[in-house]
Amino acid sequence: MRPWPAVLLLAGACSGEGDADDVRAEPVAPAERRTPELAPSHYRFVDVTRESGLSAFHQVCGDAEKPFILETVGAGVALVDVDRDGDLDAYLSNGSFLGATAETAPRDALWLNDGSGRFHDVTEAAGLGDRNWTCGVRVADFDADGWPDLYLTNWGPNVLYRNRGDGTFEDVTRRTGTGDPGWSTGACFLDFDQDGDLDLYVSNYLEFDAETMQRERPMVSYKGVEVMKGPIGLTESLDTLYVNEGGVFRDASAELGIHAARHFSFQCVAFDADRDGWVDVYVANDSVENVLWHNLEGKGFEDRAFLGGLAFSVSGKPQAGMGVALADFDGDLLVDVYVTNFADDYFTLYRGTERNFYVDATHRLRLAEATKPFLGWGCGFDDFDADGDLELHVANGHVYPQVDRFEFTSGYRQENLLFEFDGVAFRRVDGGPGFALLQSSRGSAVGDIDGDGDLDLLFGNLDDAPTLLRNDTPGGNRLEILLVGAGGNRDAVGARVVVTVGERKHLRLPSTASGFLSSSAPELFVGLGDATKADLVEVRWPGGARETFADVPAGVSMRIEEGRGPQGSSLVEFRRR
Amino acid sequence: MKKLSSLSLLLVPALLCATSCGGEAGSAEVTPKATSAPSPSSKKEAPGARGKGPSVAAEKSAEDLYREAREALSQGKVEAGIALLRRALELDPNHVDAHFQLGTALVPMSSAAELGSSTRDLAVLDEALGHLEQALAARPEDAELFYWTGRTLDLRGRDAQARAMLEKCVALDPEHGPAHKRLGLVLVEGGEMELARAAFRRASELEPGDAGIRFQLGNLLMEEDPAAARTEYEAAVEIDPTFPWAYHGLSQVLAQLGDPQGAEAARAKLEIYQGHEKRLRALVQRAGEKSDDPEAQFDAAELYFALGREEEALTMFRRTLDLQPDNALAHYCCGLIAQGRGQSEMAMNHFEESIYLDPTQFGPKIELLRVSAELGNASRIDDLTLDLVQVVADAEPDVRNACAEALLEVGKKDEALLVLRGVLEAEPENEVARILLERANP
Repeated sequence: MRPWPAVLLLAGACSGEGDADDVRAEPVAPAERRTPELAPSHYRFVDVTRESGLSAFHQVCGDAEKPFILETVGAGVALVDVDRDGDLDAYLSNGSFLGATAETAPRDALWLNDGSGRFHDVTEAAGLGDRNWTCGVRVADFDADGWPDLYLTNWGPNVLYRNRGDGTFEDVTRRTGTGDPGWSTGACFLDFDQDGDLDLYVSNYLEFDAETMQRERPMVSYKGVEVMKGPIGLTESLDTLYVNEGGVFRDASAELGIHAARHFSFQCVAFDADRDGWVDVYVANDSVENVLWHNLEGKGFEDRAFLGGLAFSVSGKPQAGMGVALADFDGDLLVDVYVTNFADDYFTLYRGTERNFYVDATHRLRLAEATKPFLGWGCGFDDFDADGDLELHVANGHVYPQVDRFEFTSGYRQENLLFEFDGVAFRRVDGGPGFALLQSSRGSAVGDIDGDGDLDLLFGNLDDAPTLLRNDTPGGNRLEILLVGAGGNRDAVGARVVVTVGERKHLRLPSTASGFLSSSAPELFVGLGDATKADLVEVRWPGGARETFADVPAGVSMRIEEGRGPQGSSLVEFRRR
Repeated sequence: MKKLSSLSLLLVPALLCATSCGGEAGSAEVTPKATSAPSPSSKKEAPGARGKGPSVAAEKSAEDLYREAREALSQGKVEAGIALLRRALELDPNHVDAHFQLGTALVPMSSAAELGSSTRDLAVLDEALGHLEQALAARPEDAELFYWTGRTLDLRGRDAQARAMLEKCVALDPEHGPAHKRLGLVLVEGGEMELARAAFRRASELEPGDAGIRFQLGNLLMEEDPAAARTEYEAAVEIDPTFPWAYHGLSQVLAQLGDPQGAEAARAKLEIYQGHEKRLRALVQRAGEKSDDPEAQFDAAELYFALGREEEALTMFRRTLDLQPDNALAHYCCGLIAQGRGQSEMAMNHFEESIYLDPTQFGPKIELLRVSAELGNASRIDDLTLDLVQVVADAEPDVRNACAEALLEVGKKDEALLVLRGVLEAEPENEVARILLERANP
């Protein structure tokens, strides 16, 4: 028997227990599995995956029992007009399985939209078809030639495909130096040093040594059930920041401070969190605190998530950050940040304040309870009914298939969620039959698939076909804006657009990253409600220049080229697009 | 309930002071514990009028079993107590007190099945709810029953029903602090922030030593009034200096208020106490993996105890004792927890067992002295006094001071002075001894 420690020798009866119900330690009951009754709503999303042809694609992500954490992450998707024919095409990432060879590994796929909402697999002809274990896809015109390029985040070397503009792509990974060798998940392009070109931030999740993992097959107990181990207990990775030096990307992570700490990193997004004119990087981390890399005027980064309110939930506890959505949901022209998390916890909405501090306002906005049964990934704020208020969608799915054998938690396949903001709080709404489907969803991308002027949704599902939801929601008038930056940042990452409609102002941010490991269409969509025009469109470009456009009519897609004023903008009616 | 005296605090190493002594804050035992005296009696009165079931031919009646169950629970034998209550209810399904007692005993058990887990066992919670609802049907004006039912419904995730029960509780008993607090938590989940604030304010008035309530108030005020939130967080950490999340809140409001240095200082505290939480998780995981290793159980129990999380500590100490019944230190710790909860008989049993197993230790004897005084056991006090005065003579000054303090508390002034003089002979500048001496001779 051990010697008695001094600490207990004379302890007396310490009374620091507090209430057993205290917030700091209390176990909670798993959220109810039962889906609550949702009030009927006007939102209507219809599953058109089969009609679209996309049902022929099947995502593969390892063993169905998920003995390894590697097999639980993936299914990033992108909506992008790769051939610039005026409609959105779909890039679908694919995972793999351990032991796969170059011949047997499944491949990613590019599906072209024929304009009617039907898609055709053109992967081979396009020179695509990466057979690595792909998790996510980012779209950006990294070389500013006017054609969107594709960056794939993989377990193993990442791949950068340059769009040649003739319907084909070339693998420029080696030439550009962007083949991060780790297990990459998120990625975002940004011009952090304001030199006019796009740099690249890559989130890396953890060190996954397949040989060791297959040999040891580590398992842990989750609510008494044996499940795969991770991320806790495995080794976090270091993220990578690549500086674009004339088309060649140099890993400058260490010198810029990005290697100050390891995290289990997932989605990263670039935005000017403290409104100092320099774009920062926010990273959702699994199981540990999130990170906000504050940009030290292009000379380096330091983590200010904690002092900015973005590291933890309001209780000070780390959550399991997965996806991130940025938007100004409450119309105060300040960016708000939404992070999806694990089941039995809530997904967190941080409201931006004038003090450049982000407050966890989830409970106040009545968003907490509704998300607890779910394990969230992709997410985004969009105006699906074009009434001027943003809706929030969330893609869900558990990581442990084993949960289906027990009643104590939510299922492996889960519903995706749609929330409506009424000006005060959010409430979950019935999104129609498309939102009643049960999938293990991960990525999600938003865009106008069928050219009818409203926003449709594409979900990437694990071990399954994607789900394409056509938006049949009746809605108001709308306006679409595409920013084209001058110089190397044609995607205008870091720009801000404020659209004034009567008394209301709508803030929109172009981004090359959204939700979870996915890319939405680059057009900025603004619902005008009954208004027939936007009174004013103000653009603040990344370099600080401002341009304004008055009286922009509803029902058009507006293309704005930096520095060319109204003469350089074009308006195309939706129905003619 | 016993609290550490300031002198004891002087004696306790820094770690303990920093991590386990919540002082007034944590001392508020606002809810009946499964291991404590029967819950119906914990707030208002002992269960009196209750349904009498049919007479039984068994050797023991339902009432006998119920009383045995209470006894078992009071000794910390939770599983045995629950089994007895189940048998009592087999004999008398209408035994209201047994339903109530079983319901309240089961609630903590819903998390004990997997210590360290962030979730509860729904089946156990549902069983608890069933018993509480049966008791409630028989006693529809019992505020404590409404509280426990509401609390259990909340843990079960049934917020609307929980809210209704808790509102009924505070309507019946407006001074039920724990119910106001629990109601506040339920209201926060529902986004009813103004109502939640009112509930926490009332709870805070009734339970001024509850750091968690102040913490919740801070959270509620964080967005709209950071300065007011700061006041709440500061109160929380004053009440419980080991409360990591309150430091988080404090750092967050200080950051908002333009005090980055203060924010960093609070963050440093957060990291210290969060570090304990992380270590705890690791130890609990190890204890789960090595479920037949008493050392692993004890390590987790010890840290739970140091962090002031007595319910979990007690469970782990009991697991230690199941595997290693002759672990005197585990008995001592169980005794300390029971003592802190005012369960003097249970504490006495553990201290006696600890002394029997390892007569060389001073701690159990010193605490048994206090417990004996609480129980009015004069002969045991005399025995212990005689023993302690002899055995501490060669001990370290800190031990002798602690012994003297206890002797003073139980009225053994002459013996205390004898011990203190011994300390001062060896260390004339011993400040603690001087203070105690002044206390003995004001």
